[in-house]
Order: sequence, then C-alpha cells, then structure tokens
Amino acid sequence: MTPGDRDRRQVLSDSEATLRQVQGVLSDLGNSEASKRSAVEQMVTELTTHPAGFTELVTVLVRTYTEIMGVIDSLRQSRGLLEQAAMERIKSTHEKLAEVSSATEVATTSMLDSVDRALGMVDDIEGMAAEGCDDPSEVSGKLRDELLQIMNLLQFQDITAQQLGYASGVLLDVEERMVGLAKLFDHKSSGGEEGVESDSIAAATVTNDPNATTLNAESRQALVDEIFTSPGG
Amino acid sequence: MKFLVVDDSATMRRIVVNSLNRIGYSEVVEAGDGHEALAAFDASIQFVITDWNMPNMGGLDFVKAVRAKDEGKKIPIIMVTTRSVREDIVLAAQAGVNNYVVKPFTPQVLKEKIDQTLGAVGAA
Repeated sequence: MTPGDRDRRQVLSDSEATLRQVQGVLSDLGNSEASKRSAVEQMVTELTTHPAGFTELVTVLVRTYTEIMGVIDSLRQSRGLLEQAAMERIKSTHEKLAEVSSATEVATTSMLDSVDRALGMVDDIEGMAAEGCDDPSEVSGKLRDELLQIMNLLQFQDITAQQLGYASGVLLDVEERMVGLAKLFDHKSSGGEEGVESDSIAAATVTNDPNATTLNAESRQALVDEIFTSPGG
Repeated sequence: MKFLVVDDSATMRRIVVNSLNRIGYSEVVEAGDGHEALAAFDASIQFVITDWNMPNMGGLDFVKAVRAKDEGKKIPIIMVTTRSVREDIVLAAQAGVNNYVVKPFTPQVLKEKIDQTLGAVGAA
C-alpha cells in the first residue's frame, strides 16, 4: 500500500465517521429538516453503493462536506444569535427583577416607618385628650400627612407591575427562541434576528415601560421640566 | 372642574383621584385605557390626566385622538407616567400634552403641574 493509498483510506474513514455523526444529528432534527436530510441521505447512499471511480467519489465527498459545513454553520449562527439575544435580555430581566425586589423592600420599610410614626401620633392624641387638651390639630395634621405618605408609597405597585410584566415578556421571548431553535435548523426561521424584538416583547412594551423604575423620580422630573420649559418645548 | 383620569392600574387611579380630592378637585371620571377614556370623553370633561403604557389604546394615541376632536383641541392634558427618557417626553409634547409628571410623584408635584397647566391654558 502506497502512502497515497493510506491517505485516501484515512480520508474515507474520516468521512464515514463524519457522515454517521451527521446522520445522527439529522435524525434528531425531525421532520422540519426533511428535505435537507433526504439530500444528505441520498449522498450517503451514493457514497456507499456507487460503483464509480475515485474521482466521482471525491466529488460526492466534496458536495457532502459542503452540505455538512452549511448545516454546521446554520447551527452555529442560530446558537450565536440565541445566546447573544437571550443573554442580554436575561441579564436585563435579572436586573429588573432585582429592582422589583429592592423597590418592594424600600416601599415596605417606608410604609412601616410611616405606620410607626402614625401610631406614635395616635398615642400623642390620646395623651392630649387625657390631659384635657382640646386642640390636637397639629398632631392630627401630621398624622394625615403620614397616611398620605403611605398612599403615595403604594405607587410602587404600578411600577413594579410594569417591571414584572416586561420581564415576563422577555422570558416568553427566550422560550419562543429556544422552541424555534429546537424545531428549526435554519437560523433564518429560528425565531428572530439579533436585536429584533419578538411579538412577546413588543406586546410587553405596549402595556409596560421597560425602563420603569421607582428610583430618581426627582431628577427624572427635572428633565421633564427642562424640556417643557425650554423654548419650543 | 371635572377631571378624566386614565390609567390601567386601579391603584394608580385611586392614588391620582385621592391626590385630586386632597387638593380640592372632587369631580372625577375614571377610565382603564384609551378606548374607555375616549368613550367617557365629552364636553363636560375639563382636564385630562393620563398614563402612557396601557392596553388596547395607550396614552399617546389617546392624546392624539383627543386633540383631533373639536372639543379636545384646547383641553388641558397632563401625562403621568414612568416613561422618562428624553425622546418619550418630546414625543408626548409633540402629541399635545400640556404637562408631564414622572411616576412615582407626590401630590405636591401633581398640584404644581395642574396649577401651571391651568395658568398656561388660561393665559393662552
């Protein structure tokens, strides 16, 4: 056996191993890739049964490799797109959920502080009544302010609901992309392109502000005031 | 003065209505989205306070729809919303809102903006 024969045998051996792997992958992909699978299967059949000479065999092998590389490239692109889109949005969602948790805790603590102060004022009013003081208006005014403060703090419910609503939309989007990748091999139909909003996210942003926050209300209002008071604003 | 308060959050509607009551405005009609608000909108409404992000019809489309009506061309409108990036604020101004309040707000800020708006509309 010449060195050239050994090289050709090695190429054939490697090719057969690769084709077996491709067949395995294709059978996992299901019916959605039926046409591509049947094309490659046809080549496998040609390769294993065709009595023609080596030149034709090499041609078939080149075609097969081209198909394989196309399939692998599609898979790589789909995975890359999914990873990039999913990771960015999941990170953003994670931050939103952390902010929901923080906003809920801040609001709850502030409300508890208000309730504590309000209870102290009720004690003061009772003490004043017991001492015969007939003008509790100063304390009752402060008590009213505390109760109004509690009501204002409840705005966190609307804001965190928007944050959760958007996070839910992102999770639905990631789920759709994963399902799309599982069903389809071609990245063009795998559920979206990089940077393009899916229906889930678009729907979520109609009713929810992606940037909703309980933080920095004063500086954000200052920006509004600047725009509305600027000439032409 | 009769207010129309539009927000899909019942909590926020209640907070806005309570704030209005506290600063002396007791006549309020409520709506949960732009469609409901348009249905409730008539010549008796003298001031509109609307959220931006709502189902069915959002605040921005609602404002444009109101401005397209004869009886809505001059009515004072304040947008009360979480949206606070410059582009959004400019869009709201272009759609025809007279003033803009960022959530979470205090009753003092709401009163200030209502007073400003009424002053500006009265002066116009």
